[in-house]
Amino acid sequence: MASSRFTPFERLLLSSRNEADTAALLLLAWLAMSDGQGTLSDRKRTLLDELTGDFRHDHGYQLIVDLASAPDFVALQLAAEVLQRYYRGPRRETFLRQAIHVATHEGALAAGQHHVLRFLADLLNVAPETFEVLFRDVAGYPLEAPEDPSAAHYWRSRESADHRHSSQQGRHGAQGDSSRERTGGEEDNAQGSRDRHRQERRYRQREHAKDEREEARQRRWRWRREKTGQRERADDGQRSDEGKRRREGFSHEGFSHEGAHAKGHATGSNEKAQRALAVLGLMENAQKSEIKRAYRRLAQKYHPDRYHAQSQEAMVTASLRFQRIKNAYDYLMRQHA
Amino acid sequence: MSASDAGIARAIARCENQAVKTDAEDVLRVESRKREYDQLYGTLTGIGLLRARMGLSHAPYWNGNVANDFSISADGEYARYAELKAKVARAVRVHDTWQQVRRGMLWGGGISLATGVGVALLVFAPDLF
Repeated sequence: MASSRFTPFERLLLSSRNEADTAALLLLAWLAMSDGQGTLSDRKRTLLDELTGDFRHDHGYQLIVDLASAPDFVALQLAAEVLQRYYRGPRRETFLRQAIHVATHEGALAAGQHHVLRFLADLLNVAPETFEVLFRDVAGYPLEAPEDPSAAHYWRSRESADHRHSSQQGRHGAQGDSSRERTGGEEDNAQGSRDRHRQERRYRQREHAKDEREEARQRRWRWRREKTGQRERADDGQRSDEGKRRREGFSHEGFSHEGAHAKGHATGSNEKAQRALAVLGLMENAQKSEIKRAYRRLAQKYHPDRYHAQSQEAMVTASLRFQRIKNAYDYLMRQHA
Repeated sequence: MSASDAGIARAIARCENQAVKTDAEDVLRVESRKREYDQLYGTLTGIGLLRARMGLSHAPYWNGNVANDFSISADGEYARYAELKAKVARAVRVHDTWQQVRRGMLWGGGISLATGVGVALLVFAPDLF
């Protein structure tokens, strides 16, 4: 029979304002610390703070960090069970997006993070196809099979990549550096080469992601221009009546370009509803209560008052984002009325 | 968890599969590689146990080499969340019982005190009655 004493994580769960958020925080911290370094750097902690800004756990980090760094698999099992019980529907997707963001924040996935991410996807019963789409969407590059460090060829290919990288650096770097030979101990070398390898992969992935984002932006822009052109042509003959009709469109960040009239534009309206749902991070058949919940959560997170102490730019960005969320919410509420 | 250098050397010497032997020599004889390998092994062992306990051993993302290691037997652990609920229920029961006992003790104490005072008055101040 199990011990009747409460473990530290059980006590934390019981004192938490939201046990699902506490569990999610522990699993995200475990993922962040499975990168082979085993510590939660300030950057990772800041990222976790940003990503979990709308969590309602209302307790400190220290115990979570201690449990994740050990790692305490008893606590992790409890956290996984809580998550499995409470995270359903669109919340699963949001959590997995957060997880992917944590894992890919500092470049390529470490082998351990590959397996933890896959465990989380299986835990939340998300099919590989869906998870791979999510991964690509967040990371900007496809999810690959994890490498196997128990095979000699893994190390050979990694070290040859490091060697190529260092020889490239040697060409670009100062001539005096050529005297620096790789004789300073196997361990230091491996650590250095690992870092360089990661940097190189990170750079390639960023470039790849940037290209993809740019391409997607251009595609959207072309699509919007085409839609606007079609609408203007269609509106020429019936402008006087149409002008008085209420416009159902979003007024900020691209939605204004597509402010399609409700009548005669069923497909446009459907697309708008889908985009509005996407803004709120919801699935297609979200209920009214889910929309309200998502709106409250996002409104709390992105309310401009929260960015008051930050730069003007951050404040403006937050205002636009908040407006976009509000417009999406208003639109969906009108649809459900 | 990590084997000693001598243990690894003995295991490599005994190994008959040449490919495995080469891999083991290349990976486990170099300290930095061994450290990274051990770290990943620890993570995978933990994930394997978690999956076994949570019924995720046959989930889509648990396949290939990582899912084929059965060298560690299942530990027959129970569901942690159910255990937590049971602990809370037990704590609530103990609390309720204690409250009942406490109430009984208070009543008993009050009655005993009143009786004591009555008897004392009867003995030491019979004129009052």
